[in-house]
Order: sequence, then C-alpha cells, then structure tokens
Amino acid sequence: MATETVPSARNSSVGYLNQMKEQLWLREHAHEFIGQWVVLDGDRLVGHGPDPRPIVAQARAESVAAPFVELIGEEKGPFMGGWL
Amino acid sequence: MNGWQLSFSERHFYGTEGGIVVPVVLHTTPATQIQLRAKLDTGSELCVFQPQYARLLELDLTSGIRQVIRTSTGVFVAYGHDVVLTVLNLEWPATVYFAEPDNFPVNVVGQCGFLNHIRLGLVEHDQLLYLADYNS
Repeated sequence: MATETVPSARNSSVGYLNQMKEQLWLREHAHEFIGQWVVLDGDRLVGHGPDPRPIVAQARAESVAAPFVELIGEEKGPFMGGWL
Repeated sequence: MNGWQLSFSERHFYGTEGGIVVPVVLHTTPATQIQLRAKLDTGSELCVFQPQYARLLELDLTSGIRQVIRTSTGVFVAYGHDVVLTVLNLEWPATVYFAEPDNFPVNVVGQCGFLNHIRLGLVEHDQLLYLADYNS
C-alpha cells in the first residue's frame, strides 16, 4: 500500500513534544480512572469522564492549546498489533 | 563487512511500560490540536486512531475514505482523513485513519502516514527511538 507519498516533514509548529509530565501523571493516577477519558494540561488534570468532548472544550476555554487526551483502559496483558 | 550510517535530529526515550509509545499531536487547524499517545507498529500499513479523536478534531468521521482493515483476529472499518501529525519536533501532513467502533482500544502509528515521512532508528535495549526528516 502506500509509500508513494513524498516525505514532507518540517519543524514542529507546536514546539517540542515529549509528554514527560503526562506520563508521570498517568503512572501515578491512571488506576483511579479506569474506563474513563482523562484530559491533562501537563501534569494537571483538567477533567475526566465518559466523553472527552466537554472536557476538551473546558481545556480550550482555559487556553490549553493542545490538551492531552487518553482513554484509560484495562491493560491486562501485552499488546500485539496483529495487522495483516 | 559493509557499514552504513544514518543521522537523526530527534531522540525519544519510550521507557519500559506498554510497548513502544510515541507522543503525538494531531490537528486540522491550530484551534484543534490534540495530544495523545500511539504505539509504534511497523507491521501496520496505516496509522489508526480511536474515533473519539476524530470528533475532537471536528471531523465528520464517516465522510472520510472508507477502509476495511484486516487484523489477525478479524476486520474493522476505519475512515481516512487528512490531518497534520506532530511527533517530537517534526510535523507533516498525512492521511490517517480513525476506527469506526467506539470501543476501539488503541492508537497505532504505522507505515503510511508515519514511517513513510521519516527516517527511524530503534535501540530497544536502551528504549530509545531516533527520528529524522527523511529529506534531511
């Protein structure tokens, strides 16, 4: 399929992205929010719930340019992509 | 013995938890930037994300390019949309796919949309991922 695209990467317009704060927050708190969407601004929890849209809207109202959004799943085992 | 050298502008420590996870920003306009995490899957032909992200990007999910995607355990439908994808300090426009099932459990970056825009190096022993613009 698909490597006909002309590569066209450029420097990021949103700054360097590493998500260290978000990963640390998730390591400490993810277990409290299993089955819910969490929205973070760095290591600050903006909100959580079954639908991320109103929480992201709240984050944008608070001038969070790129909120971090993740569904906290029950990861009970290793992941396999398994694509054919 | 032959030797080859590659150079990279970006390096990412992905750690020991949950596979090879890449920090990603998706956006369609500057006002719709969303950060998420995706698993690197070099065996995947496409980049596929959970459908909720399409809604957060204000995309009409089913108006995209319909694609039936095969997996080792079955098939699912996804829809392709044009976005800008940012990883570390690089960004590029790409067509990525959003799964139709609401309970789709994972975000994946693969061959088309991710690998075909960059050079990639991987040293699993150190949990380090190296990236560069293909053209650099």
